[in-house]
Amino acid sequence: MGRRVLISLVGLALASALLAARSVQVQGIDSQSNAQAALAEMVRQPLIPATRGAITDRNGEILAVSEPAVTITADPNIVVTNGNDPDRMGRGDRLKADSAAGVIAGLLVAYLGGEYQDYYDKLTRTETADGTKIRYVVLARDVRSYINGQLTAHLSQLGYRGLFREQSPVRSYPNGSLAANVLGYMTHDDALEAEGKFPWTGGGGLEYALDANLTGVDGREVYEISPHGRIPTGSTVLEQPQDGISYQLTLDAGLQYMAERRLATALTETGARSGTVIVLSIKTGQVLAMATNPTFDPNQSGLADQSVLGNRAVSDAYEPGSVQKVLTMAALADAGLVTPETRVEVPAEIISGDKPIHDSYSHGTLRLTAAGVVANSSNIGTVLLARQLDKASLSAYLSSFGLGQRTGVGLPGEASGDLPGADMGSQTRDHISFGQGLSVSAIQEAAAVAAVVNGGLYISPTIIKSATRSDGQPVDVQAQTTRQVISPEASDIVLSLMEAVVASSVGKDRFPIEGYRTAAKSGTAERYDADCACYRGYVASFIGVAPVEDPEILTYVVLDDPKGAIQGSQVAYPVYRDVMKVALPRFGVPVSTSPPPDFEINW
Amino acid sequence: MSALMDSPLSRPEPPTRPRPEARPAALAPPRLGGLAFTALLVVLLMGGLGGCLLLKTSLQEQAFELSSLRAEAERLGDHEAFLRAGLALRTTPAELARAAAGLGMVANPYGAYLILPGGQVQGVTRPVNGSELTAMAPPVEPPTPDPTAPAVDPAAPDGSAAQTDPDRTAQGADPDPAAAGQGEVAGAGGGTTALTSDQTEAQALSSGPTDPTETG
Repeated sequence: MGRRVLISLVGLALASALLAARSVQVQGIDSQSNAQAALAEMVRQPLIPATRGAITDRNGEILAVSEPAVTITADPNIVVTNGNDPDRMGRGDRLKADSAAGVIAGLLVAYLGGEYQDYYDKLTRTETADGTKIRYVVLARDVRSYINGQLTAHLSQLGYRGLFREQSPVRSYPNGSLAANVLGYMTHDDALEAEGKFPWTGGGGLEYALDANLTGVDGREVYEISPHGRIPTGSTVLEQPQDGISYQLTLDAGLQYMAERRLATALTETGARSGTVIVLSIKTGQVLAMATNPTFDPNQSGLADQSVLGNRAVSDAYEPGSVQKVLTMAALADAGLVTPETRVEVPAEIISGDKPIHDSYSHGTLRLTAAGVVANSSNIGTVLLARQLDKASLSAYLSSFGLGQRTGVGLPGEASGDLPGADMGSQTRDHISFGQGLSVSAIQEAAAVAAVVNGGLYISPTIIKSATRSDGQPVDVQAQTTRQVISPEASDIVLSLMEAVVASSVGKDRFPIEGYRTAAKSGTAERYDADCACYRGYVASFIGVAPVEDPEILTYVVLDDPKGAIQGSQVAYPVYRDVMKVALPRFGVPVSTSPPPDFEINW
Repeated sequence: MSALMDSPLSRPEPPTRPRPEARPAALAPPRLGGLAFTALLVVLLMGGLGGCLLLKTSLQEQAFELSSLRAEAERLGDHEAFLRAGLALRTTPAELARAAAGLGMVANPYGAYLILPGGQVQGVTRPVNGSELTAMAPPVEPPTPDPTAPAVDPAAPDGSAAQTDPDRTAQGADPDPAAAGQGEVAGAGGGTTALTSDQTEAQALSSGPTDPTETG
């Protein structure tokens, strides 16, 4: 008895000594690295990806949204054994494992589409040519999580193993190409993928410009696991992801669609290389529609030609032609040099520098009022009037209207255009008075003319209406700037000059928008071609506002290099007309109740 | 009576009793007592183990419940996102225009306004004949294929195929797993069990019986 007790005690003592020694080894020596290894073994901290912010139109219509999606991968070596130890499979296991690749491939075709043979080959190729085992193969990307959930449920119901998923949210543009040039697109960044981060970033448009804010901050969940799974009583830390900021644009998707449709038709009919339509809310500076063509589908931006991915409405600078006369007249009116009745004697041609300037139609000496000059779009009459204003003032007015500088509309890649300064030559002054020898972007020109008819108050245009954090808190968006460029009286004078284009004896019934009094100006500019560094082709444009009593909506159409008919009044006007016709009732602009006045054109 | 009074210090000395006579202690505890003690230990041990088992089972059950609820929440979230995506595709201006054109509707650019109060009408209402805004009419052929419906297989050999009805699968599940598997292979390799575009449509529009996870 005593002997047995002794043996037991000695045994216990030895065991304790061993444990103590091990304890010293683990905790005394190498304690740091052991603790870290244990922690790494015990603690899991999977990323919880932040959801990229959505982009909606002014009515909440979704333009860009991130949707839960996965990449489906497989381990072929698990698939072909169905997760069993090859040496210990029974007959049933063996039969099931042999059928696995076929069944899985069939289900993949059923749920995801694609080719049966492609899936089958990937699932059954367990080794590379040099005998390395393949443990990872990508079967499908951008699979909506819901579809994958169904597939997974079906597979587990049938008892097949070996498929895995990786979260990889997909950016979706349910409207396809609608406003694509504004929204932009996502690009795959290989460098980010190599770092193990989410590899898609904004590649163009608002997706690019707002990328940092849209992206958000990933969260993570930290918890402890044991070999049997998660430890229920273990510590859990949940760092909630901070989803990206969502943006609401000023665009109206419905109007945008109609503008794009109309523009696409116009390009087909006129053979123009490209075109732009901008619809602007005059009193708020909000861009209601901004259509450019050619365009692309951001869902498949990789397939698009690089040249169509930009936004011509802000990035293309061109010579605006006769639309510019509106701004020239605004400067003259504010300087007190022009009223609609101002009389101008217009000769057949006029010498500027060493070359003659003509009008678009030949005529002898005309006696035109300023209204007549604008209605007839007389270059000569405009030059004669503009020569009364000193060059510095003209340049300063145009600069104040926003020419020669970016508007800050919120879109990337904006061109600043080229505005000659106070030191410009006399010939340049003559030319810019009717829209040659300076360049503008469509958004610049639209905002400038909007200022002219908005009582002379320039409001910098914007396309971002509001921004909201994921918790619903509003985020400040870039503020618009305003400045008084010309007096309200001068604004009225120019509006009247523009109405003469539509309603005088010259323009009567040429540019009607039924029910509304409108004011407008067409433009046909010689087109500078960078390829030949020469003038080749034309830029046809048309700008107009309605209703004249209290202008609310501005529409500007620019067609680059139309073939056949080239006049803005011929090719750009029909686009303007149709867009205006739907835009005015759409925004509840009341019809005009007063007739336009009579205009004196000649004297 | 105050607590002070009750203190042991103030307690009167108990009356002295005659000292009891010393008796020899029992040489060994009674055998029955040893058995009882062992039984007590066993009961305590069993109780402890049972309690542990219960606790662990309950924790595990909760963990299972938690994970299944999480999975359910995720599945429902995915389903919602899927349905929203389908809805977003159907409410786009392009889709509405196409649907309207399909119904024979044409755009009417002639707006008129009813002024309230008073009831006078501003603007002239008039019927349209369809020639007003033809340049804005939706294109005749549908544009790009639906990018968010990867389940649609444009190359699906035929439009008619079996649905992934969970009940069918469950009933078909043979005790011999290989048999069920082979059945699937035959379907997949030959006639194809492809879900058709109709199937996708049904999935997008309802989570009805075609949804394997719904009842599965």
